[in-house]
Amino acid sequence: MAEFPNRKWTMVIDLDKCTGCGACVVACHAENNVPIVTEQEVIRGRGQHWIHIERYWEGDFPDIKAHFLPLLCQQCSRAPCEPVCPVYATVHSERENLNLQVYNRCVGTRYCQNNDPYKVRFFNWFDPVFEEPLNQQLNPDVTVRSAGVMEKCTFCVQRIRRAEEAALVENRPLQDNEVLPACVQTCPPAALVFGDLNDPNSQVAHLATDRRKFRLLEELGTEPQVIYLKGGESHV
Amino acid sequence: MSERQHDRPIWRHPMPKDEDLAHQIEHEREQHLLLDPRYPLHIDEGVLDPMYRQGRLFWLVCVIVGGLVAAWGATWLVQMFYGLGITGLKRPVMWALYIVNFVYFIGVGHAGTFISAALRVLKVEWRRPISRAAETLTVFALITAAMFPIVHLGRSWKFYWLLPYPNERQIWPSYHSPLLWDLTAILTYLSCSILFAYIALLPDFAMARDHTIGWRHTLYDILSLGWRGTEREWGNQETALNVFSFGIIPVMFSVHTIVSWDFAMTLQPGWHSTVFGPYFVIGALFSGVAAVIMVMAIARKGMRLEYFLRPEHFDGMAKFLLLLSFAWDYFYFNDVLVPWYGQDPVEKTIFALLTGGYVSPIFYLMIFSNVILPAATLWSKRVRTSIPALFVVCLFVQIGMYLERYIIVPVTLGQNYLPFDWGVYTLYLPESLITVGAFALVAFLYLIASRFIPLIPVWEVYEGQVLQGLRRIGRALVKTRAEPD
Amino acid sequence: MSRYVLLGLFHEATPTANTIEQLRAVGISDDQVTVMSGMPYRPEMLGRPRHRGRVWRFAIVGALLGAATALFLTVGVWLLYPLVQGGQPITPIPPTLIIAFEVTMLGTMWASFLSMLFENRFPAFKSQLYDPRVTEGHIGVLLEVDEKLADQVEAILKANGAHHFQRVEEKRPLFKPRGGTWQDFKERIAAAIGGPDVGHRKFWLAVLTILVIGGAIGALVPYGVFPISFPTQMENQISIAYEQGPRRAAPAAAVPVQGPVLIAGLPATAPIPANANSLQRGEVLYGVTCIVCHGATGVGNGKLSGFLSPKPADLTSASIQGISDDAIFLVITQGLDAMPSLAENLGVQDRWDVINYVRRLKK
Repeated sequence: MAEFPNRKWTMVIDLDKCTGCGACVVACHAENNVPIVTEQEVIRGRGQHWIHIERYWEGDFPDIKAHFLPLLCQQCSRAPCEPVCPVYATVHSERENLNLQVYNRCVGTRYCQNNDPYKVRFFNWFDPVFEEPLNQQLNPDVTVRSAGVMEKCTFCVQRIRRAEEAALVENRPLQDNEVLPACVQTCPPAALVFGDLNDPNSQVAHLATDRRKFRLLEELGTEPQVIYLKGGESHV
Repeated sequence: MSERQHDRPIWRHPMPKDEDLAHQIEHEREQHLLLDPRYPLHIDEGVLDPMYRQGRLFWLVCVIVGGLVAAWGATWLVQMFYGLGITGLKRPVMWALYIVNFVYFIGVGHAGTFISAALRVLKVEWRRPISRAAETLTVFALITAAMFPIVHLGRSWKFYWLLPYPNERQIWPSYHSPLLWDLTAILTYLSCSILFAYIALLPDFAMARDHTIGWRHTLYDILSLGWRGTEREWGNQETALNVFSFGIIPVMFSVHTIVSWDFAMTLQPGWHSTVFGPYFVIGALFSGVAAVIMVMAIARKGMRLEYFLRPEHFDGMAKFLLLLSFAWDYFYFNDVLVPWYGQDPVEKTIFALLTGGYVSPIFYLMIFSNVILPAATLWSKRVRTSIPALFVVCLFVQIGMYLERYIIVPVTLGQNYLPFDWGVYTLYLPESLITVGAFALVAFLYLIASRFIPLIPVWEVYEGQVLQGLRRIGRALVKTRAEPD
Repeated sequence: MSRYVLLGLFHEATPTANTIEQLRAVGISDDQVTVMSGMPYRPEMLGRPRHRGRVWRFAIVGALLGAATALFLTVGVWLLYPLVQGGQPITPIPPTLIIAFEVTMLGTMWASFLSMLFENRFPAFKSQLYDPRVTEGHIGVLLEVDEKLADQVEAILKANGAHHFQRVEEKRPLFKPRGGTWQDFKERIAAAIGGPDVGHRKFWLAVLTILVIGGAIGALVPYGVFPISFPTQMENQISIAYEQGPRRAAPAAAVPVQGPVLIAGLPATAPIPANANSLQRGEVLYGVTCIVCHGATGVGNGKLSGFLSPKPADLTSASIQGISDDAIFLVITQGLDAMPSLAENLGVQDRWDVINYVRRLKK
């Protein structure tokens, strides 16, 4: 039987290109059945977006600059959130280098979120609500999470699996850009690039050598798989 | 010879005559329980009598406290039905009051075993009448504390998924997680504390069996398992108590260290610290000893145990409390100094919040309660032996230690590496009700237990009274003890 | 020759010690005597041999058992489920040490507790020779003697000030005989099976049996021998799969239509016969496209009807049913008033299927 090759799924986010439009957030909500919480809940700090745009202001009006940081699960190779889980609800996929979350196993200790320096894990405070016509657009490939369960970005693992299986059936290598997470697919300025870092010809492998690259909170040693690009002054 | 002359230095007295010595004996008897032996039947009576006393006040307190416990249960059900969203938890403060309560009650549960086991190992005589009250407090506080990790779960009804057993999910829990270390340690500590208390209770259950009739007799007959006090029984009991005393002290240290590791193992700034282990252990003992003193004071008043619990016991405990206060100061200074010197931006922010931010009232109240008040009052023997004054000091220590845990958990958790996610936790009704319910549960269990369990270990007091005596050295009488081994 | 069990109560330790010494002089061995007291007197206070229990040994066995359990729980579980977490090795040493310490202590203490109960022959609920005054500070001397010595022993006890004296005739030996003869051995076996104070063995055997059987049954539950369906929540999630909804037929003559489709020569009634197949498709398509406004029965009471002005037409009414199929086709294709064009939603054949279905709504 044919084997799936080892992958190192990586996302490159070019902060110089990001306009902070939030299309990725919307796409993620649609793709991954992320519940849409009420305005009141967001004010209380329960906003739930697997990818969200962190906006930092610099300077005072009128000489003010906004910095956008699209933040999603960094899919760390040495994820601090993983070993603290007592029920193996979050484990590492060695082959894909992905940080997996098994919703069914989660009991909701929320320890992973505490040990997550990026705070990109989201807790379902209530059961998700999808009102009548909205439930028709739920993605059948993604579980709807119940109350009391942690969830987070999966790099659209359902799309990765679909593409890999298709390639395996057709007995051909997976093409670069064949797997596109919803946010990458949507990004209007193409600030988000996704691919396999193990493939030396992939776009991410090329971008990963960019001198503008950095990883978020690299000093913590979590070895994140999201690479940010930021160079010089960019006024957005 | 009048009372006043006792206050005069002893070397000013003329060489005492026998009748002077008799007065001195009288004085010593007033001071020390172990020098004030009574006929054992009277001691039995003094312990068993309050268990029958269920006045109007007792039932009133029972109803109030029981109602609060029921409120906990109802709130918990509501929380399970709607989800944890009804509490004040928010991003990034994923742990808040439930974990504060967990740490706090584990801490309260610490002193009981320490007093009982460590002082037994060291053969500190004044421990005798208070060990039972301390052990039961340990058991009840631990039961309450053990509830909180379950209350705090997102899916409380799945708590058994953390237990290792062959199961239909085909997976066992992960021992990588500090929570599993915690679970193991707490189960060890809780079950062994119950057994420890029970072993020491056997002779007292036998005593109760011999002096009760009716359903109580049947109950104690079963609980005492047929204890007759034969040599073999005493010998094996002593061995078992020794195993427990030596075994449970390291377990006690490990339990609160592991609780601290729940925090210290994370990358959260303000938590990721090596001093957390001993700091938490000392904090636990500090709040625990204060709690034991409060329980002693309440039991003394409520159950009329003035014969057993005397100022000397409060004095000894208060000295211990003062010592622990200094130790706590030392560790807290460590915990604050290193981040302050390191100038880590996040830890600096937390420190600024404590000293000048929205947490500063809490912080200064904590410093007052844990550092200033004990150090300012407990040096004085008058405070140490005055039960109301000591009670107030201990109450402040409780408040201070609770606030300390509050600062460690939700306040620290509000700040992390990415300032976008910072948040301030506010208290909501559900967790407040459950917190009140937790205190009520300890009180409720204690109230019930106080009517079923002899709160004074009669056999230990009796043994102490037999072994302790007065010896004349020169002009004075001094306490001596027949070393029992 | 019958045996007697005697119990004498003393006030103080000294007369008790004297008594024990005199009894020994009479020829009663230490094994035949036991002392009951309300506090732990040291053996040397009463002139008794020091008790040597086996609790320590059990504690060590418990510690070893605990350590083994801990190793199984940590290393065993990790090897059973080799799941990587956070880049840690599959079997890290520090957590193993932590669990090993805790479970070893657990084993030690539980073993010493249980062995204390067992060694003390607890629980002993049968009536034993006992006096409740023991817990009032009296010291009881309990001994078992032959008939010929009974009177002599009684005299010794009384001479030393024993008050509250009890004397019971005992059929079976109270104390295990010592010695190496075959007879002794048989007696010991008999005592082990049904002696007077070995009820505790039956008790612990029963406890052990219940634990083993219960544990076995409990362990079989997860392996489906006793199937219990555990409801989980997420199996009940809302999920509507791709194409799970009504499937539309491909257009017959896939002609993209812009504008009116009334082409000369097309029949004035539905070109697709209203057979069961067409009606079924029509019903499904109606349920997808039309139902939100016209309602399930076609009377114009769909969920969106409240937001529309003018109101959706009552498809069952004579005025609608009176118009020709072509006219209905045109309305579906082009829309009318508030009704949008459904050309993109319904293919040509689909539209005729819907028309066939709408004709059946007449009543």
